[in-house]
Amino acid sequence: MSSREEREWWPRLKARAIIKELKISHPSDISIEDIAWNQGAWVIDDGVSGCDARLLHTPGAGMARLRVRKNLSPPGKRRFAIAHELGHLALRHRPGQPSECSDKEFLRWYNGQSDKEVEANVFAAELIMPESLFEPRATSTRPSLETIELLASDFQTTLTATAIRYVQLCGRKCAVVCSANRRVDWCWPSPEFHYWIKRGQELRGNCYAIDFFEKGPHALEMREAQEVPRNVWVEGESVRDSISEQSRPLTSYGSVLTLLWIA
Amino acid sequence: MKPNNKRPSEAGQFLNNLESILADASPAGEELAESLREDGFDPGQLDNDLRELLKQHAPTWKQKAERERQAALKTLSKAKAALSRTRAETEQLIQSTVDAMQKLGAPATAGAYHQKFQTATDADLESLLEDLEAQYEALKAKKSNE
Repeated sequence: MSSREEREWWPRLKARAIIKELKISHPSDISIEDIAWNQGAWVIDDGVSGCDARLLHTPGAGMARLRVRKNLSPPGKRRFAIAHELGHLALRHRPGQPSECSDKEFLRWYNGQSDKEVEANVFAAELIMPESLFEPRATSTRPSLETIELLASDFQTTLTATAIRYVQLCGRKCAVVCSANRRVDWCWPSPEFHYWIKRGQELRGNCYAIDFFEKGPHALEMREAQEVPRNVWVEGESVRDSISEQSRPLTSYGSVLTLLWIA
Repeated sequence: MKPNNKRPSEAGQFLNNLESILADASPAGEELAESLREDGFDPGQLDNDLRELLKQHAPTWKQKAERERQAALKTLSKAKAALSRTRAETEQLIQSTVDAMQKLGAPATAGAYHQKFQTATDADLESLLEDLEAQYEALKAKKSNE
């Protein structure tokens, strides 16, 4: 078992236990406020404006209070924020003093965070996109952003969180890449995708994701699935081999999310 | 599985069975529906009434959580924004509440996790104080019951 698998094992197990206990069998059963209440946290949509969410819990002092920024949107972001804070509660994290999560940047929501933050994110992903419900839907279709958008709609999750979950569970050679300022910001490969896309790597002129920065978020070529030479994305790969690429603009972040896959 | 989750599931199964009997076109289903009508009952209405009764008295975990959440929301203070406290006074009150909770033997200082923290606004501090006070009251009540 790798060190990542080791640190993800416990939060996954905790989230799965809740899914099992509550007999959740359909994405529409995942009412995050009701699950939070059932697990001892009261979600209040008000009272914080300097952060997205805040969990206050004193062991032995009744319900934890989970404040969420009013009108936090999109709804998927709100759900993830609640599930993340619920993760701290379920995993019995003790901040000791009022403190801040190191999650400063949602698009870098995973790598480089402290163990507690990683665990809370793993818990949240498993709770709102349970493997038992997500995997059958992800493996039964060919990779595309349309599939991921449909899953995001079913599970009421953000495109980014859904795309990461998709590559984790779809069983295909694919990866999700987020680019900002014409460079790769992060890449999340599926276990089957044995290529390395470097963080900070400059986007090549012949990839389609770069259209977001050159032509704007409405560039159609970027939105449609396209075949490009594999070396456009993967350094050192043959120009004769191809890779499929499809992107969506994340306008509010000034970023573009790309799905890559090899047939 | 928690015992209190079992009852609604069994009761739900009972209702589903009843509904399928009433909807059943077989002689047994028709017979039962007819017999209910003869006694002045509307089988459809009866099914709805039973479901509503079940929701109230043997709710699923989701119905129970939703009902309790709605009731709890009514207890939330709405007048906090109008308070004329300075930020320093609010911070002082937060500190004294945390101290009081520790004196009651709270196993750890009240901990707060923030997501995407930028800064604690005055309103954030007010709601933190409100939440701390609620937890302090819960601790006090627990201690007095011990």
